[in-house]
Amino acid sequence: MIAGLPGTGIGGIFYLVIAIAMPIRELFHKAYNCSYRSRWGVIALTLGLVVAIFASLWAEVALVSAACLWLQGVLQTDLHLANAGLSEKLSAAGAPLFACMAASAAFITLAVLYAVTRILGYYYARRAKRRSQAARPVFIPDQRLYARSSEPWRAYVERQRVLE
Amino acid sequence: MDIKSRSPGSGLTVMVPAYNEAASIVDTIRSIQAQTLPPEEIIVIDDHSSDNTGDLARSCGVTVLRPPANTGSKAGAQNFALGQVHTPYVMAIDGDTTLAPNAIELLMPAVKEPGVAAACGFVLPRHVRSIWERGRYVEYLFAFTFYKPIQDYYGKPMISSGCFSVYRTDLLKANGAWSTRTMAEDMDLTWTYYEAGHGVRFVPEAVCYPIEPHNYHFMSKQLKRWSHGFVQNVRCHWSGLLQIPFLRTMVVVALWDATTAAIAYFLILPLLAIFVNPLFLLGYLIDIPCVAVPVLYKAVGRKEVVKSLASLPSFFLLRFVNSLFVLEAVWSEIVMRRTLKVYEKGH
Repeated sequence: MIAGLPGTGIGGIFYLVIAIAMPIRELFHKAYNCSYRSRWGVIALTLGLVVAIFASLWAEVALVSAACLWLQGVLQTDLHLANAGLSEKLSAAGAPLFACMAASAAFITLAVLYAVTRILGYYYARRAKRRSQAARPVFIPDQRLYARSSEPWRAYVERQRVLE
Repeated sequence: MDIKSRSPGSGLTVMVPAYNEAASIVDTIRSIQAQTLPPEEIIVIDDHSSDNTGDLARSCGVTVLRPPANTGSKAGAQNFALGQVHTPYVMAIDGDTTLAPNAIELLMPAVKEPGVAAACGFVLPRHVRSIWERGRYVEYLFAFTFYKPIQDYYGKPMISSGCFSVYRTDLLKANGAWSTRTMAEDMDLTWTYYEAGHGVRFVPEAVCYPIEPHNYHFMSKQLKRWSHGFVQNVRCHWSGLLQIPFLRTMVVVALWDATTAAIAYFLILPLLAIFVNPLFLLGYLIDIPCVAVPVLYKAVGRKEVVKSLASLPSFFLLRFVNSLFVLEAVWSEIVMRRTLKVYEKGH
């Protein structure tokens, strides 16, 4: 179920951003020889949809700007006394400005959410690791045996732990 | 057992949980039997229906199981039948869902990939007549054409849809099968798989056709179950989710859109439009192209352009209603700590 909301939601922008990131990610995969030809088909289709979405968004903003201009003219000529304030507000520049503001707000929100989840994820991963380490039996290496060893202490402890 | 319910070779058992599905169960079974890759066994779980669902299923020549008492949920019915499954793969299909003739054949290779525990297909409403069915039709066309392939590319489809998914039986049993602790057992299982390091795949070519709620009464039951299920799963899995890179962002974004953005939509936008600038009303329309482009792309391929265009306004109504239900679910589950426990069938 989709409960994302028009204009105010960030779900749409999130998917557009990660769709644009798909070819970059795949190029990295290609560099490490784990890229699949079938995945490029999905990427091409998704990018095609993204381009079409951006084109239609641009058309929408242009259309709304034109509509605002027309409405402004109507208000000034026919209803100028009653709606003078509204006429000023409905300037042709308003629609692109509003679209830019909405997109900027969404990008900032998305970036903040991404950063917060990443930090929390890092924190919980570390906590889980600490807990799993704490659950391991305590290993006390023999100091006298280490005196005869030439390797660093940490490497020696790890090797002895594995041997245990 | 009738010979028609067994077909060797596919290594697959299909289970169909059914409660009062007399109107649709025969279509469901026939569509499974007509598959290009038929399953070895079809098991219908008649969860103490008050109609003749069990008799109708039996007349189609499939295995019909009846638990000692009503299990109370789809998950309960599926768990009851899981003990009877002896094939390496098991598929769950809703009692009101029919499959495209090659759906199983197209879905099976995905679940056989190494590291994959489950695979799901493309979902589309069978009937597109009422405003609610139309809204759902656009919602599915959009989500399964744009969102889900991206999620699949990143290896984390958010949910392996319960109405049509195939699972590896051993991993399903090892991960506790379908949990009854939430109202969305399919989401719970999908996220449990991710936490255990298993993969889930989405196969857009494998198509199924469930019957969607046709009026507000049934739609509200389904939305209540889904929205509470989502919030319950976030509560159950949050510490595990935060350690799964792509999924955690996806879930947080969905939760943000469903809550904070909903408040902006219902409260802040109208206030801004009244007191600051009427152009803020554009907030209600600004993402129409984002929805329309993927929907039209898929509709052109399916020769359903007129139907999809006529259905587009219904999507915005459904999304508005969805948002109200999610807000209610967040309020009940997180703020009031009132957990929804009664599973009410959506249609």
